Amino acid sequence: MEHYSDKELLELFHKGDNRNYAFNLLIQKYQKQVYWHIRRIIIDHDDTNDVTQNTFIKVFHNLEKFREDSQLFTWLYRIATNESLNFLKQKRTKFFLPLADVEHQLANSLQSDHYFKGDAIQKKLQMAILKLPEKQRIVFNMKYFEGIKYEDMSKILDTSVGALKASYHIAVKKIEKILTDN
Amino acid sequence: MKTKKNIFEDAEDNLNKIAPKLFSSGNDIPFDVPENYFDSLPAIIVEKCSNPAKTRLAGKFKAVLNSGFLIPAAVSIAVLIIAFMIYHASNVKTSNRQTMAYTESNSSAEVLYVDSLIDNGEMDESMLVETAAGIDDTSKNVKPNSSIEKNIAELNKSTVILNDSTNKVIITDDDIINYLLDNDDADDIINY
Repeated sequence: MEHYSDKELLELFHKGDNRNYAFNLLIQKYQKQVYWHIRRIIIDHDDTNDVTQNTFIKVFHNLEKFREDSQLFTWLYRIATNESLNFLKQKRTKFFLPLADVEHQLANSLQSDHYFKGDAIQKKLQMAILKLPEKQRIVFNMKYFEGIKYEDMSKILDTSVGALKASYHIAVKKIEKILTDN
Repeated sequence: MKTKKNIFEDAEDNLNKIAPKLFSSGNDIPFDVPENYFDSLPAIIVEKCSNPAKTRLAGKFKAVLNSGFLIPAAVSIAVLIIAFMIYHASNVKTSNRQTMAYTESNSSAEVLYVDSLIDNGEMDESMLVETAAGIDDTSKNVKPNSSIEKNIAELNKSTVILNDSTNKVIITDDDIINYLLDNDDADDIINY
C-alpha cells in the first residue's frame, strides 16, 4: 500500500476525478486509529463498527470544508469522539437510562464480549476504566493506550492542557485504587 | 517543593511509582475484530458515501429494528385491537338485550294490552320510555346513536317499549295474543 501524506490525500480528494480513490486511501490510513479510539469508548464491536462508519461518512461529506489549520488526524479524532459521545447519549435517552446504567451496560457488554482477548488482569483494568466519568475515561484512554500528546488532545476535546493533565492524574489514581481494592 | 503542575506530570512520567498495578497491567489492546474486518471496511464506507439514500433507508430500518420499542409497540397495538373487538362485541349483545320500542299507533293491539296492564296496576306508566322526538317512520328516521333508538330502527311498528331499569316488564307476542283472546277481540287478532 502506498503511503500518502495528509496533504497529498487532500489534494487528490479536492481534484474531484479520483475522489473515491483518495477517500479510500484516507480510510486505509486512519481506520485502525479511529476504530480503536471509538472501541475503547463504546466497547461493543458492532456498535463501534456503526460509529466508525458514521464517522468516516461525516468526514467524506465535510472534507471539502476542512480548513487545514489543524491536523487531519486531530480533526478525524474530534469527529470520532463526538460521534461516540452522541451514540452513548442516544443510548441513554432512547431507553431512559440514567448515566450510571449506560456504563453498567458497557461493563456487561465487556463481560460477554466474544472479541475480548485479554487476560483477567486486563479485564479488571477495563472494568475499572468503565467506572470513570465519561470524559475522564476518554482522556485516560487517549493518554494511556494511544499516547496522544496533551496539546493534540486539547484540540480534539476542546479542553485546556492543564485540565487534561489534572484529569489524567485523577483517573490514574482512581484506577490504581480500584485495582488495589479488588 | 512540588507544585501542582509537577504532581500532575507524575502521572505521565512516573506511572510505575504512583500506580504500580496499573503500570504492570500494560497498555496492549485487549480487544479483537472479526477476520479481514479492516480489509473490507474502506470499500463498505466508500460505497455508503456514494449511495447516501440507500444508506439512510438502511440506517433507519436498522434503527427501528434495534430501537427496542418495536416489540412493545406491536404488543400494545395488538392489545388495543383485542380490547376494541371485545368492547364492540359486548355492545352488540347489550343492544340485543334491550327492550323494544313503543310506538304511538293508536290502533295496535300492543297499545291496548299495555294500557290494560297499566289500568290493572301491573305496570306503571313511568315504565314506558318515550320514543325519540320526530321518529315517525322507525325504519327511516332513526339515528342509532343509542341502543333503544337502534332497536326502534330494527323493529316493526307493532312493538312495545319497556323500561330497561330493574323494574323490567317483558311483553311477548304470546302475551298480546292471549290478551286479545281473553277479551274476545277477534278482529284485532286477525289484524295482528
